[in-house]
Amino acid sequence: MSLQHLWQMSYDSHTIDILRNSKYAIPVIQSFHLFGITLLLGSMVILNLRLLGIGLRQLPMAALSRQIWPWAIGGLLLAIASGFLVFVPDPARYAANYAFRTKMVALCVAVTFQFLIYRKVIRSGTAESRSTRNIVVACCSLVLWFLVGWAGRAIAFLG
Amino acid sequence: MKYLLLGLLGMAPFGFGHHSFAMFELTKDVTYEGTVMEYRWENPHTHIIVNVEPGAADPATVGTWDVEGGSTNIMGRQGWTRATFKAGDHVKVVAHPMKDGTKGASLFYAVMPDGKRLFHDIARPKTEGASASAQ
Amino acid sequence: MSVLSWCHWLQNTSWATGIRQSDLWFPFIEGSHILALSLSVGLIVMFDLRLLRLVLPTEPASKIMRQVMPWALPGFGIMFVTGGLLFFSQAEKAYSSGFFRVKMLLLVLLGVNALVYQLKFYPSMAQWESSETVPRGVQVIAVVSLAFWMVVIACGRLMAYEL
Repeated sequence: MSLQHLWQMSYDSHTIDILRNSKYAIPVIQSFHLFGITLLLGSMVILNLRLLGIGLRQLPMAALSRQIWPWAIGGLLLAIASGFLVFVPDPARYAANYAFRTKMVALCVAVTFQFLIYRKVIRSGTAESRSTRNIVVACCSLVLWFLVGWAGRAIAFLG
Repeated sequence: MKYLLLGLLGMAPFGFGHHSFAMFELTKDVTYEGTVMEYRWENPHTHIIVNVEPGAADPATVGTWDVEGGSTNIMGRQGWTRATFKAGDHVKVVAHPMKDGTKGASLFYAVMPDGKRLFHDIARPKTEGASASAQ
Repeated sequence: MSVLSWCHWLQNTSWATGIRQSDLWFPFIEGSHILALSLSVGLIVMFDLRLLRLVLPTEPASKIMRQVMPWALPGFGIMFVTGGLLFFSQAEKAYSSGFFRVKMLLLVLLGVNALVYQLKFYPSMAQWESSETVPRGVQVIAVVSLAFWMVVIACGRLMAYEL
């Protein structure tokens, strides 16, 4: 089954038609996408300011990582679920958009980094104080997630 | 109808991010021919305000229409510039009208005096027997 | 001169037109406005969640406020500047938009909400910030803040939907 066949299933679907033709559905779903992004990127800002050692220094990293992490993941899941609902009614258009493809690649890299490396670092005992490793990890996290964000904006402007 | 939709939008690397196309009748191609009242080269969308005089070939198109295009970046890559049109120019555009009857439409392409088509994005009309162009 | 004709004049100044017609500036300003939500609203959300004891309940609320809020200030600065520039470049459309008007009203109400907190509950913070029970008024303020910010974001998105 080619990708075109897969996209065609969406265009043929009566259920997805309801979503596709509704006046307000897509902008409202996009709003939920922004709620998810705000939670996720806000959490990343908080955790990384602490990891970089330039902010929130009176708050222990251990407590921050335990408490903020679930909200970051909740935001990520909300963003992915709402993003999927924006994609599904018009898959061919998005799949062909270079900014969208870049965003998906960046998202995979960011998620992999987040779960494979970042989570381990903030849960280790060595995240409380500033170190070269912590600075590098924090910068990678911020760059990756904001790259996903900017690629998302580029979908509408650069194509 | 669904095949036509796919054909038109098939491999269009088109950014819609601002709002939904749900407000336009995407499967309807209507030709608007008249005079440019305003040519707004701007973000987030370029706009061509077209006045179609009474006596036009398609009576449903008579009136003043807001034909919405894409961002300056996306239109620019299709050959549009800030000087492509100006007020007073004759214009012929093919666009998808708004579903609710208000005089707005989503630009598909404009037909230039030399016959050349300037598209909104990379989508091309599906011709008989041929598949939509891939890019 | 009516407000609408003032908006028309404003968006046709050379600076506003320049932003609107720019391949780079408009996307950059709009993108910054959206992504700076993380530096502004995102941080406020965390503080509101703390007031509701849903996040970092073991840390005193005043400590969170002192540590997090200074970073929200530049964030809101970015939102204000980019928002202003966006309005500047599309003044007529923004002014005429129902969603924009609701958004501005909600921002004012959010300011009032914050002021009520400052005047009524901030002075007595030491008494309740580490306890298990949070004053009902503080809970209301936090919930209003979360709800209104969500509607502000949605209005911003729906504004773009109008032709």
